[in-house]
Amino acid sequence: MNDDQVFDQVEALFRTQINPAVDQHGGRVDLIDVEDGVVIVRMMGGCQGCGMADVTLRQGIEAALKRSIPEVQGIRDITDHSAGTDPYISASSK
Amino acid sequence: MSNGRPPRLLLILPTTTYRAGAFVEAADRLGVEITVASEKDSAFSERETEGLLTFDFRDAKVVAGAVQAFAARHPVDAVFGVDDDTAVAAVVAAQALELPHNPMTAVEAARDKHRQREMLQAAGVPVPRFALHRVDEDPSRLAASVEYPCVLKPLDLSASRGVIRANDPAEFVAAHSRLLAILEAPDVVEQGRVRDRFLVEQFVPGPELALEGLLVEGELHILALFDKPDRLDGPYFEETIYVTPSRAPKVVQDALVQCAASAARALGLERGPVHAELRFNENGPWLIELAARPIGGKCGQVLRFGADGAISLEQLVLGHALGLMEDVPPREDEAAGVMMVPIPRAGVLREVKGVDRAHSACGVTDVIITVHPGQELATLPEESRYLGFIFARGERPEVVEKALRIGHRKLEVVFD
Repeated sequence: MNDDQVFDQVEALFRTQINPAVDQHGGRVDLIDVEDGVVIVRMMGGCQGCGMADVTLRQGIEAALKRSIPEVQGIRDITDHSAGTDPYISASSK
Repeated sequence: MSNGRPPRLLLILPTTTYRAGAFVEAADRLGVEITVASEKDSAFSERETEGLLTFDFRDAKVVAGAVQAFAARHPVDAVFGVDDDTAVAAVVAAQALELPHNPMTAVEAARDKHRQREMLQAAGVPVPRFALHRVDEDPSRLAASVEYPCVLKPLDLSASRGVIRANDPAEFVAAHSRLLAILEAPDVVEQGRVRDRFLVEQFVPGPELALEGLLVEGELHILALFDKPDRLDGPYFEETIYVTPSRAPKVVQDALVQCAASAARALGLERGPVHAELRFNENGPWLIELAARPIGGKCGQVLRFGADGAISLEQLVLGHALGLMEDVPPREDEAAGVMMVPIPRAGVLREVKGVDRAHSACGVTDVIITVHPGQELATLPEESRYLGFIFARGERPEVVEKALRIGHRKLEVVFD
C-alpha cells in the first residue's frame, strides 16, 4: 500500500473513530499528510495545548491506527500547542 | 522478567502534569510497552484498554484493585509515578503486583512536609526548626509565639504554592489569612489536599541549590546539582533559574550531596529518582525538602546523559525502574540551564510576544510557553503554574545564566 492509499484509510478512520472520540473533549485532529507511513497530524480545539495531547496521540490515536492499518509506521504532530486557546487540560503542577 | 515479550511499564501520570510528552517519548525510545494511568478518562480510554487506564490515585484500594485486574490481562514489569502524588500510588500499585518499590513510609514522608521534617530531625539531618499548627488556631496568638523570620507552608502543595515568609506578627497574620484562602481554593479541595494543618518553620538564609539524584539499591547517584542564582528570600519563593554544574565551592557541593544522601537514607528511600532543595550558610548545609520524584515542570528537558547526550532524564529513570540499565551514565559535559518563566502579574492572558526573539538569543536552545491565550492567571503564592520554560546551553554556567536572562527579557506578556 502506498502513502496515498494509507492516507485514504487513515482519513476514513479519523472520520469514523478518531474525531468522534476526541470530540468528546472538544478536540479535533486534522490529517495533514502521510509520508513513508508516518501520519502527520495537527491537533485543534481542546487537543491544542492540552497537557495530555501526547498521551492521546501515542496511546490513543497511534495505537488505533497501527491496529487497523498495519502500514502506519508512526505519527508526527505538527501542532503549535502554545497557540491553543481552549485546551481540555492545562498543566499546572509539578 | 518479561519472558520474551517487550517489558511493560505502568506509568502513573496526573492529567495536570507538564511531563506527559517527555515520559511517553522516553518509553518509546526505550522500546517498552507503556500503559498510562491517569485520574481522568482519556478520549480513548474505552477503546484502548491496553494502553490507557483510569483510577483515583488517592484511593489505595481502588489503585490496587485496578492494577491487579489490568495486570491479569497485560503483565506489568514496573510501575512509575511521575510526581509526588503518583509516587505514592505507584508504591501501592507495585505492592499489589509484587514488584520492587520503595517503602510506603518513605514515599509518604517525602510527600508530607511535616512527617519528613520529623524523620529527618530524628536522624540528625539539618532541617529548619518547625512546628505543626491547626488552621483554626488563633493567628494573633500564634503570631506572638513564633520565631521570626519564619515561613508558613502548606503540607502537600507543590511549586511553592502557599509558601509565605513572615518577618513579624503583622506579616504572620496576613500570611496566615492568605494561606487559609489558598487551602480553600476549589482545586485544592478537589484534590483532597491537607487543609486543616500547616507548617511554620524557621527561615534559613543563604543560597539555595537543587539536587537531582537517582537511588540504586540505596546508593544515591548524583545526576545534577543546580545553582539557583536568583535569591529566594521571600516573601514568596518563586523558582526561576536553575543552572548546572554548580559554581559553589567543591567543599560546599560535597556537604550538600552528603546532606541529601543522609536525608534519603533517613526517610528510607531505596530506589528511583529524588529531587532535593537545599540551602547552605555559615552553619553548613540544610535540607529544605526532598521529593521521591524527578525534577518538576518541563525542567527535566535540560538534563542529558551519556557521552553523546542522547539519554534523557526520563529515559534514565524509566530504564532503571524497568531494570534495563545497570549503570548511571554521567551528565554531558556542557553547562545547561532552565528558567521557569514567572507569571508577571494576575490577569487574563492575551498573548506572549517575543518568543522567536527569545529563541534566537545566543545560547538559548528552546522556549516553551505553557499557558494559553484567554487563560486567567494568578501569581505566587496563589498560582502553581509557570508562564513557560526557557532552556539554554553553553560552555560555562555563567554563559548559560546570561543567555536565560537575555531570552527572558525578550518576552513580552500582554494581558487583557
